[in-house]
Amino acid sequence: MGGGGTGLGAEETFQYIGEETQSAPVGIQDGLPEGGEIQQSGTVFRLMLSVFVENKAAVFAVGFLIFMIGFCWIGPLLYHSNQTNAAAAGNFVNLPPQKGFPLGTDSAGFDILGRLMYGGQISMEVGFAAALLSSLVGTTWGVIAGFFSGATDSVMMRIVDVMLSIPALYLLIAVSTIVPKTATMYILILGLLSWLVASRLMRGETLTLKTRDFVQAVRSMGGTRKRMMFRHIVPNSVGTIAVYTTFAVSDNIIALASLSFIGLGVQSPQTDWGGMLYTGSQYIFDGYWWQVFPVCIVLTAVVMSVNFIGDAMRDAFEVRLQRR
Amino acid sequence: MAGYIIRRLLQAVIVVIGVVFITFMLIKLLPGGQCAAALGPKANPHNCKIYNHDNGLDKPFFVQFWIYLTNVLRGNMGYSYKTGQNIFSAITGAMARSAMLVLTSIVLSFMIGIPIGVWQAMKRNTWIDHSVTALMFFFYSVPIFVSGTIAIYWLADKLGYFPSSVDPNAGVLTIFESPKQFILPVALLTLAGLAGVTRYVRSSLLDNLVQDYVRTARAKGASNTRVLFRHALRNALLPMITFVGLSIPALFGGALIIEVLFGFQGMGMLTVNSTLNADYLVVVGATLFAGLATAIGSLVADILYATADPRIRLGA
Repeated sequence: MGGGGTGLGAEETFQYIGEETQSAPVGIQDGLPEGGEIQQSGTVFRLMLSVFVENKAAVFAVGFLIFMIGFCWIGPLLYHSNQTNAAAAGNFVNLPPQKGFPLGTDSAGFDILGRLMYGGQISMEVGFAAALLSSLVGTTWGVIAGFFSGATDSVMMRIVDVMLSIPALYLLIAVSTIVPKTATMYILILGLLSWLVASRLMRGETLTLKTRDFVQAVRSMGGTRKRMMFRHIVPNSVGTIAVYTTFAVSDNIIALASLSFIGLGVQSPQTDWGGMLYTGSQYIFDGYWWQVFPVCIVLTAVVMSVNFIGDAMRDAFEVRLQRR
Repeated sequence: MAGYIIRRLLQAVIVVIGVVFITFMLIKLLPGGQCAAALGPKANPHNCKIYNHDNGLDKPFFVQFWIYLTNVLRGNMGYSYKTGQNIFSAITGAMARSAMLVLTSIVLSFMIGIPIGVWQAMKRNTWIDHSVTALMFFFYSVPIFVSGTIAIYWLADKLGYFPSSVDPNAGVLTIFESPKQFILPVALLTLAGLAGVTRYVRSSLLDNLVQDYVRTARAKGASNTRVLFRHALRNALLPMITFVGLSIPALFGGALIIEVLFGFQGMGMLTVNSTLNADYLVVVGATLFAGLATAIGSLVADILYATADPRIRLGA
């Protein structure tokens, strides 16, 4: 997709990658320049990496994400704050930023800076784990539907159609009223309700891959269907899956935050970034800006970095196809 | 064409039954089952027994589902135990208000997004194109509750340009009668949808501009403007019909958050309030309606697309 079709001829300057490493010349042998040097490229993976690295925003985003992971998990070891004892916190309600509370406190008296770390743990944990779970389920579902086609395919994909037509947030609300509101439960329900798009993508990949010679060769050599699916078709769709999973991370962070924002997320004293914003927005007309802006900035920045990475990965994986 | 429509209708029927089945299961999965959903979480066992008998809940599973399905199709969804309201009429009323909000922002995001996308395609790979893409990427990435909270904090509260909430008694037509209170909610929803529209128009137009028919048009001497607007754009915009159908669920989700933020009594507000009241039948009912609206929306979009596109109209 994308507007990549136009004007590429002029821009598609070839890259020198791994010139001195002499790695195996997989694929890429573009038109050799007349009498010029011999161009050689690295493996497909190295080529993709080089395209990814070209995208400065994405590299910055990776750095930022690593920083945020450090901030949320290593931060609390260096910066101690009370995040669990509601009674002790009760003396410091709604304090503006000051010595001892660099970003102020919230309406329950918890320190905001510490809470950003603490809430970030749950936001990112749920976001990453739910994304992995959904791509796992979606990939399996899609490869089976696409591989067996016929009635199996119809039934499996109709189930996907049905679930896709219920707006995700409504379904999440209905389900989250039934289940206990813990982080693990949110990983499960977000993961198990959001794999639908992944299954459609994977089914599409399977439909084209299963007719290819290298997959058919497995059959001729007596390989099982399971082997064809999970050792040959799935690994060859890794690009699609990886790009999907990346965007799923930001989608799931937002989904959990949306639930928390309407008061249906993880329950106090546990929190995530959406829950912090929910708490802060209760006092929005009192001008407690420190309860709103820091968490807005952090949440948006993380979501945006993940999307940047997803975009860059899409370009990187497309390159494998374009420059072949 | 007739064949396509019949197949598509059948598919829609299956989806509708499936959606009803999922909501049926949601009620079953609630601790206490349908009785707790209909009579409240503190319903006593004796009343539950009577309720179950009256509503056929002592019958086999599929009979129960059949009763539920026929009731839903007749618009009989019971009464809210909390407010005593007829659930069907409560939801349809809220739905009409939400639809107003969602439709207005769909129309606006198309009116703004299509020209921007075309402009980007015309200026492709220039700094203008790249900065608009970056801006749209930003709009796409900011969660709607973040933009909503900041808009209320800054534009409504600090600067006082707009009301920070919508009249709680606002009806379907209030948006035309006193539009000012709807500016922020509609603008936020429009911005959220805008990125998708511009991205779609830009890439679809660029894909069409390299097609053979465009070369033919140029070869016979059509001007650039004519090629762009009469040839490429019409082909590029056709698939947008299905794009609308596909974006309905996302818009309902976005509208839910916006309704809660601005206190607008739509489907989202109804759902969230009912959740807090443990009024589970209403929650499930709203989920059901949101699903049905999506199924019907995408059915209409697909049929419209098939009618508009001769390749499908004449092909099947």
